[in-house]
Amino acid sequence: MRVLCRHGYFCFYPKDETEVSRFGALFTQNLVRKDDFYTFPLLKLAPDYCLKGKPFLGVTASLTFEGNPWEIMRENGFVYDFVAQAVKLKSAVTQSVSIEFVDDYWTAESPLVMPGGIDDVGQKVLSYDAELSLDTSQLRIFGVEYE
Amino acid sequence: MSKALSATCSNGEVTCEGVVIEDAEILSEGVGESEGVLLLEEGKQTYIAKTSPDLKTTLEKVIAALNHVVTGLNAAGAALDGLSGGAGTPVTAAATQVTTVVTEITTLKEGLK
Repeated sequence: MRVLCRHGYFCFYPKDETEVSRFGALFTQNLVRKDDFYTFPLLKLAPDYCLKGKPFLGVTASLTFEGNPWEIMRENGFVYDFVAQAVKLKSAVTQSVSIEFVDDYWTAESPLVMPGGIDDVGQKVLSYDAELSLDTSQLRIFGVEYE
Repeated sequence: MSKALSATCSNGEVTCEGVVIEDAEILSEGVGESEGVLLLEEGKQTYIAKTSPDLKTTLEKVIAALNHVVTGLNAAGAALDGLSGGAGTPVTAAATQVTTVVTEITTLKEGLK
């Protein structure tokens, strides 16, 4: 299953419905369909605009902006914490993430990398493009974007 | 892609969904109370007032004023007829023409989109 995390907003591209079910079993959180991808239930509710001072998925927006949800999250410095199942400021994420470069891709210790997490050299992960194997629960990351 | 939201404006301050939109560009005088649309395109915010209520109010006032004129002209015409038969004819004719204009403006007002 392809995993595209853009500025803390998750898009999943399963090969078939069984991968959706297996993901739900692995993470105890089901994915829901949105447009041409799947995402977490809270992220599906993301509007295509935010108003400064009003909540955006439960967190107060710091500016007024219109665009795709991941663009709005980028502008506000938000990420989705898939453990807490909540949107939060990336600055509030202090979790360490371990990403190791192997051959021509990176691997991670966990099946999903927490956006906003800090790697071994102190870089904050914002976006990544990866392939999740639901057989091995291993994440192969082909591209990473840091803050 | 852009987004249009209902908004209001008063004294240069635009409000949308209960919050003041500080950086909105107002494409109107923005002084009087107005209802309108807030257009969002990425970080750009533009407020456009609906002008139909202003126009409708203006037309209603013009209709009311012209009806007063018709009343006055008809009274003047009647008074002139009393002094000299037929002297008020041009005046009452003018009142009739003004009444025609009132009807046309009323039709225009009711046809506002």
